[in-house]
Amino acid sequence: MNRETIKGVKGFDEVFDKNYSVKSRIADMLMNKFSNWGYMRVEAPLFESTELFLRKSGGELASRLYRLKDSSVGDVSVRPEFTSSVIRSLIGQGLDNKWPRRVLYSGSVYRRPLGDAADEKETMQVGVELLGSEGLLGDSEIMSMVLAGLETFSINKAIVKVNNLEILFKLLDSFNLSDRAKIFIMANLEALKKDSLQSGIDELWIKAQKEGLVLRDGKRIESDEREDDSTSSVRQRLSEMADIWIGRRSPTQVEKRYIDKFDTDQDPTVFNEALNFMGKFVELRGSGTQVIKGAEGILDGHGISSKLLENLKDLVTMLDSISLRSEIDFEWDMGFAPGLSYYSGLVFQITTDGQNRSPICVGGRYDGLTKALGGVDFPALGFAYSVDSLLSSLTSEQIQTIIASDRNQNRTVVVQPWNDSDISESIRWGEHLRAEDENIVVILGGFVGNQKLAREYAISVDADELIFIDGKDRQSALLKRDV
Amino acid sequence: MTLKLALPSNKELYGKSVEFFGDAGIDINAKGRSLRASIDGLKNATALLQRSADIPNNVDNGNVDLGIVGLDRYLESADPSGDSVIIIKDLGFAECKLEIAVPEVWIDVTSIYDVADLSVIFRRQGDELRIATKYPNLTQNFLYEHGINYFTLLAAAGAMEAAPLMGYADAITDIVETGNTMRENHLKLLTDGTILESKAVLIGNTRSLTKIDSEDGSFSELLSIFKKSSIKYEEVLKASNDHGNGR
Repeated sequence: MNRETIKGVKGFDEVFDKNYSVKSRIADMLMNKFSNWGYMRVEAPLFESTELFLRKSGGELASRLYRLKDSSVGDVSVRPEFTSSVIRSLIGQGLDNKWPRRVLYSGSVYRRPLGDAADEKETMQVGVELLGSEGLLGDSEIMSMVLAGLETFSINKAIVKVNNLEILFKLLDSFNLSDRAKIFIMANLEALKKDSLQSGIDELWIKAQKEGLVLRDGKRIESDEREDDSTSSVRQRLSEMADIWIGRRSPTQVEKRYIDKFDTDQDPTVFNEALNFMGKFVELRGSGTQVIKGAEGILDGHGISSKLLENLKDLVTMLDSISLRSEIDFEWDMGFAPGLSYYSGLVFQITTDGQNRSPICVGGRYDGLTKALGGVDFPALGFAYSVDSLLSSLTSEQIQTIIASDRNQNRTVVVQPWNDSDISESIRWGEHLRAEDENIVVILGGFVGNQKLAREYAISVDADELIFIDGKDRQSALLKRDV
Repeated sequence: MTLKLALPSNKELYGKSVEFFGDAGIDINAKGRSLRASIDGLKNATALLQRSADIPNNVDNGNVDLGIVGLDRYLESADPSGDSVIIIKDLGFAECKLEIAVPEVWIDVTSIYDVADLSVIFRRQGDELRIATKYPNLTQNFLYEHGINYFTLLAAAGAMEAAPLMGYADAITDIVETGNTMRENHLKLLTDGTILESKAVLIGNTRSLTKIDSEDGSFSELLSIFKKSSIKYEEVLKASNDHGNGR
């Protein structure tokens, strides 16, 4: 009976992935590098409650989760990243703010592809989280580690794009905007980066009206809803509803928002000015010095104090000093705003100038996340290297160097019995070789009486040496010159 | 091979489904409490009565080839990368709406944009807007589409309307037919909180239907019956060399 062959699921790692040994070596090299900074190795669970990931990333990850519901574990998802698990676990241990915590991990993460079904669904990551280190101190440590990761593989042509989201939020605070309006503008920065600033503003203006953020046709709320919105009248209405009061909001909260809703409709002029300002600001990019200079000009044009740029200047100075010690330059981009639902300060991503454009490393500061996930407010930041993206950005010379560095640690020898009577002596020889060198790999050859196949097999497993055992005689064949 | 059609075991929906096929000249008969029904008027076909909630997955998995189910159930639970597709978009019954409802006492909330504002307020207070629902996927997508990122969905079964009363949730999303149950439980609908207008649909597994049809043409026969009865349907058969995922 013919049965269909069962294929592996497309986009997920295969058991015999030809790149596995290189990827594994890259991950080991990064792990070793980062452990030297005092980071503790941890292992994260494959599944977590779906709510954990949604609370961290909101809409950004929801459509990318591999989610399943099972009566024994509830609504869970396969991990799309590690940070949430690390934070959840630390909160569970009673995270306090006495000492910084340094955590290091590696493993696969799983995400549904965006659009193009050919995207990888499983990728290997190596990442770190630094909890409890505020401001420039933590930022310096993390950025130095990020560059150390690049140096490990002699990558000196990477583009490290950076920004500070805190400065964007602070600048928006200069305008009299509602929280929703601020979040709306931050979430739509990409739209402002169009060829023409005005077309970006127009697009966002329509969207803001549609979402009820600004007045539409001069009104936000239907006139019959606001017949009598005096405080006393609202209180009267609410007190009449006391018997049917349900939900977690108190009458005072409802009353306050009701009054605010009518009194503080977003002023369209202010909203427009904020869009104009941000439209110009997000266009700033280049070196730190160039960005600061441009920012001062824009702030001046809008009558905003340049004192707001002090933290940004400190960060620029710090990154410049780090970059002096490496061959990598930082590229500031004030419109670069990933992961807005959790990043709160420094953000960065690394791409290489090769064909592969997906980032090899992303990260940033997420100070509010521990609180959002149920813990105390705790400064935190981290990054993750994508081993798959890193591998595809390396040159063949760089990959050969990685393979060679692995080989130094693992010399491979095939011990081949000449006859069946030589099997036990061959095994004894293998044990002897392993006892002499703990890094050696000794494989028992399976081609008794067939020298040609034994040799071909040894080459196929990339062995350095082939040893034939014939009675007490040993005949060794060096397969690689550097052995 | 036999063409397997899943029908909802719920008495009312089963009756309407039988009526729909009856109008097209296909008679379906279940005897007593049997979960299997005979089909007259279509060769090599059988009908199986199943819980509505199970039908989308059973069609997705190819356990059955065709199924009648509410659009709400289908969109909520079908696997986006599975093999099921909608064949007939409106069977003319089981019309209802999936709506967001909030406490009537929230006089400051009338639209989805108020809910968006509230989600930010909750977040600022270190809390999250809690919404109880039996439809987490549809609800989640709707909220994201309206720029609402900060919320917690609470899976609930049974009497959803009681969730705000118990303080378990701030709002709910549920199927509404007349709105009476909501009103009786002091909940109100938003002016623009309709997540989905649902109705019964016929769904099918493209892979299994293609296979069955290549063997005995029974699915094509069903389509030709629909055609004679002027019932609009979608072309869903795969080309013979297409082995990719549906939808």
